[in-house]
Amino acid sequence: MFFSIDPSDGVAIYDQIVRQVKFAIAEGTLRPGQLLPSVRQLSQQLAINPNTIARAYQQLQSDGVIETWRGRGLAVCAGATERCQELRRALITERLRFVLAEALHGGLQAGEIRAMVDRELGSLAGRVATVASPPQVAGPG
Amino acid sequence: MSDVISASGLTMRFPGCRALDGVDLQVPSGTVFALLGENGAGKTTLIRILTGFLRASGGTCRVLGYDPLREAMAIRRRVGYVSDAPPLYDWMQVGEIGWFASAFYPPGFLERYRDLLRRYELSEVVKIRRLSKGQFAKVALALALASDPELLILDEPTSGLDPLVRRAFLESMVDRAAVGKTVLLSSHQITEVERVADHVAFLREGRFCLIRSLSELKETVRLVTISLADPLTVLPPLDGAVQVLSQESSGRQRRWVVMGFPESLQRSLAVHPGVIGVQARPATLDELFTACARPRGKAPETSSCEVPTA
Amino acid sequence: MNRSVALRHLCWKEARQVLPLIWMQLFLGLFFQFLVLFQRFGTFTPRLLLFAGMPSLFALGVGALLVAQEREQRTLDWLRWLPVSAVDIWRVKLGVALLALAGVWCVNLGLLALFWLPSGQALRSAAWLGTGGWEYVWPLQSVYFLLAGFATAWYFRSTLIALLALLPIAILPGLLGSLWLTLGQRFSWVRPAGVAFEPGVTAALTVVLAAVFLALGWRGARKALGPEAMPTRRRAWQIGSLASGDDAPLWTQPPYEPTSMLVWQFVRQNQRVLQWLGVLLLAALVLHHAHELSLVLILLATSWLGVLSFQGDTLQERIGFLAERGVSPTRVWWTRHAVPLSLLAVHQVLFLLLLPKPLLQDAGFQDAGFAPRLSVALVLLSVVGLLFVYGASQAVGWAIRSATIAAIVAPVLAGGFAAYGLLLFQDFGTPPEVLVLLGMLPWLLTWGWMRRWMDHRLGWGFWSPVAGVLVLVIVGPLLPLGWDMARQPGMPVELRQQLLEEVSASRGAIEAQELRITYRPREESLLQVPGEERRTAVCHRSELADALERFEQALLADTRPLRFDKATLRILLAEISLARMAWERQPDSEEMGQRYGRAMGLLGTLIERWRGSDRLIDQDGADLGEMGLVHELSGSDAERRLGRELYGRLVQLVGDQAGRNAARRRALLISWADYRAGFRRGRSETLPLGGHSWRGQSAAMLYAANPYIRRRAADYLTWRMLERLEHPEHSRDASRIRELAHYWQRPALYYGLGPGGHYFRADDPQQLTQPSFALPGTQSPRLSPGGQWHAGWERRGRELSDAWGEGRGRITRTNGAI
Repeated sequence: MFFSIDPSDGVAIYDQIVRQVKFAIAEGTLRPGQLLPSVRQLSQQLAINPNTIARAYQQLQSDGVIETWRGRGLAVCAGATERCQELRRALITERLRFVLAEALHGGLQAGEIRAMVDRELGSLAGRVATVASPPQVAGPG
Repeated sequence: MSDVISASGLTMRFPGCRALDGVDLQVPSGTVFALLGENGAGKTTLIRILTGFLRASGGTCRVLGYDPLREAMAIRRRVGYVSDAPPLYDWMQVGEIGWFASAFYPPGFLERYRDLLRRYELSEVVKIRRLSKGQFAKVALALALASDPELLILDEPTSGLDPLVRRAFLESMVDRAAVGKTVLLSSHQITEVERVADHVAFLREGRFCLIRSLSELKETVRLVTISLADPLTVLPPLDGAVQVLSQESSGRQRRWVVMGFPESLQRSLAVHPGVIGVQARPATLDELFTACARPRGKAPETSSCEVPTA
Repeated sequence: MNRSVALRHLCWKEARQVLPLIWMQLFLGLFFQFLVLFQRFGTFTPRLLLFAGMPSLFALGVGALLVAQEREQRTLDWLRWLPVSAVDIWRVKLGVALLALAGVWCVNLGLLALFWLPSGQALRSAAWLGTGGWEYVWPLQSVYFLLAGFATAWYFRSTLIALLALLPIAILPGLLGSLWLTLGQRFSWVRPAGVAFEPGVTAALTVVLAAVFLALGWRGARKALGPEAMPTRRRAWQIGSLASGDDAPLWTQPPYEPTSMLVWQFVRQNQRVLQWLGVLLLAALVLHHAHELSLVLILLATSWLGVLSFQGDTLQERIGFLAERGVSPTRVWWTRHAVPLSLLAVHQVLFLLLLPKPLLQDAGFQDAGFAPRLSVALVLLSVVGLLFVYGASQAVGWAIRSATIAAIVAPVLAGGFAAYGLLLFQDFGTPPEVLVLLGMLPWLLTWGWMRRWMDHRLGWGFWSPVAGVLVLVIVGPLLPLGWDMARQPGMPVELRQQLLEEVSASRGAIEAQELRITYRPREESLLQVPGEERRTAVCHRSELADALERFEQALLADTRPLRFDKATLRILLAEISLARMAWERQPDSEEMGQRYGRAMGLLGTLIERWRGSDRLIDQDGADLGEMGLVHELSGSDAERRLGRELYGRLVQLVGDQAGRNAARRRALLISWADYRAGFRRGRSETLPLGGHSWRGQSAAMLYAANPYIRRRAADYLTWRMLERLEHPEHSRDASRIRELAHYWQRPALYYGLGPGGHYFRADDPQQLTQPSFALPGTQSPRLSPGGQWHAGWERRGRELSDAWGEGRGRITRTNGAI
């Protein structure tokens, strides 16, 4: 899979890797049982410090998303898909919260905000590409 | 895990200026250690002292456990060094210079060198003076890596090179780290440093003003922007636990680069009289660099409203 | 790390770096051999010097090449980084240099043997080498140069400065040796140039100094290869420069205008080298007593100033800075030359102003009256010479990138070309304008292709003009010569065949003999004539009479043809004059009459014998004799004096035009045939034609190499002489006269062509009976072959003969004018 790493983003690099792996699992790009590249390989591919990669993998392991297979390397756990989808929901909720907080801080009223949300939803409906593999429609949240 | 490089109290005086002023440095093994600093801060001087090209005016240093002045040969066998614009023999061909250098290292040099040339897609029969800048840098890197050094020292190796060549350098750096060797990198390419460095040291006017691991920096350093109702508002002095690296002001806003900015402080500042809002986000390494270099930033208040330099 | 492998690889690298210098000395050596072939020296010395000189040249440059150049290009920094100890680097550089030196010696000695064996001259005949032992000092000295060169290269950063510093060190053993000897003598303080060197002393000093410089070199190497240490105490001159920081720094002042700015850049950039060269010029000024040394120093300094003008910017392609800023190439060109040339001009003025008198006196111009004119010529010559050397050197420094090689090649090449120009001027008669034109070519080269050089576009368009100029300079002046020679006309083939047949038919078996009046004046009879340099012999009458008596008897005893002898003719004509004058004083003396008659008869017989000879020169001598005879016979009472019989015989002799012409023709043809025969026998080099020296004897290589051309020239000359003989009107044709004069290498004046093309003939027999047979003001007289053919005296002789034939005995004496 491809990663998009932005070193000067506020988010730490290892965290970006973790998130992107989880998103990929949630999307279905990474299936359960699929092998992940080794630390050395990934660090070469991304030109990122291997310690960072190692930390990301550690984090993923402790989150139960990937596991070590003896002699083969790291692979995606079974049942990781649902966990990652949960995570994605959580992340999007957080982003929503952030946007709402900003809107409220800026002085917008709750009713105004809701109207905006409905309007945007309406204009976007049917125009955003959904994720390919899982048949269920990824709804908001 | 012993330190690959350890220096204490290094001083270097040139006629008329003081390039290094009591520098202490410990580079742990198996890491990528980045030296940052403005041009003229003393990075190259430090590296030349560590590699035995320059005799320090004071202080001691040890590289891989050896003294650079007395046991230079032992160091050179184990350390690869790529300087900025390395002076290679331009009449030799690419293959010839590798063959020439292979005599001084243990066997295996030539095969590794050839592999690297293949990887970098360099022809062996071209004379070095006919190479482009990027190819030249790759040859220098290949020469340094072919000896499988325990320590790789790179002094601004990618200045002026295209992204592909820089990528090649980065890959080799991380590869070294992945097999447990050490890299000392002196660079201005902040994005590169952000990708590959484990530790960052910032040199200013001959001294280290900051030595931390990169992850720690990323977690603790924040860029705080405070919006004020009245430009002349005086803010309360900050807690000692918080280290302010730089402060600037422009009109009704103040900007600080701060190490360690707890939520509580943010909240208390937000409710301070005269403060409209406080925003904090993690600082980029670029901003950190600028903060270390210019702690005072631009002058705080001037009658004419100057546009701050971005 | 396998140490032997490491050393092997280092040797390979050093060997590769030393190669250009080896090629350079080989090329220079061969180039000079080519030049030397043009000149034929009596001894083998120049070739020997060349072969001994090339390895020394190599030794001087190898240190700069292997060390100073690496430091300048910073590649030594990379080499230092490799895990090689400083000792190994030092040893390998030195070792390879010494090995290369040995190789260069072998090559040069091999070439020496190659050139020596065919010529068969003994090596020791080179008197310059003096006593035995010097041939061992030369190699020792070259090793010393090598070690000293290494030492200076480790200490000085710039290649040019390292070479400059090497100069005084190189002559150190010689200087110290002469000092030692001078002190040893103690009683006479001889000038340094005049002291004889002893090989043993020099060798010992060389060995000692070589060891010293070896140690110094090692110290310098260790310092340069080890870590750099900053001086803790400020040096004196640095304090000075810091103190003057009170003045506002340069960049706060308003900028100079472009030209001055470029000159400032040149001076500041090449400060050190300019200082050293200034010291060199000063040394030349101070040491003006040692002429050769002073001259060498001046030439060296001039040459290196020339190299500096462009080499200063070649390092690190510094000229690129100006090129990128679009500075006009012309401006750059002459600002590069402004400073060195002005330095030279100042030095020249000082030199010529301060020291004209001693210089001129030592150069041999004793006559004070000559001095003012000659000093102008001297100034002009020195200026032109220096400009030439400078011009050639600046072209070398412009074309060659490597500083070491340019610094070594430039003085040698400039000197070589100067020698070549001198050769062309002296031997081939190349007009000086052509030489000046050729000397301007290097200047034009650098000026014309300046832009290309600044932009560093070195390709075909750069090297072809360089090659073109080189070819032009070497071959150019030879081309007209070659053209002339190739166009050398010869004799028409049928005529040649015909003439050769005629010769074989008419050649007599009898060879001409030598017979002359032998009269040796006694020592005390030599008189110093006041106002003249020579001493004239006082003629003792009795001795002369005896000599004449002996001569007459020998003459009458042998009837073979004789070779012309000028002294004999002179004595005889003098005797005739004296006898006539004596008889005129005593007209009735029987004795005087007999004496006169006998002398005239002798002359007549002599002329007949000379006419019988096969050689052209004898015919011309007979002409002179007949001229004297005509002069005498034209006298008013010649017939009465001589008696009818003798007078008749003599008059018929001088009137016999046909016989005379036949004799001349025969002699001409046989002389020519002999010359051709001489060719076949392989002695083509120095054969005179018919006894006369002529153009074909020129010692220049080009004639020597081409006997074919020489023979054609001889054919052509003979043909022209034949035509002159057969057509009297040709003797007035100015172009033909000039042609003959050119071939015979006589002044056209001798053939009657005066200055301004006016025809006049020294037909007056009076003039030609003077002792010197020369025209007033000229030095050595030479007979002009065929110069007296169809002259006025022939007509006079014919008149006399006709008059005699008509029975009239009275002929008024005429002036002998045409």
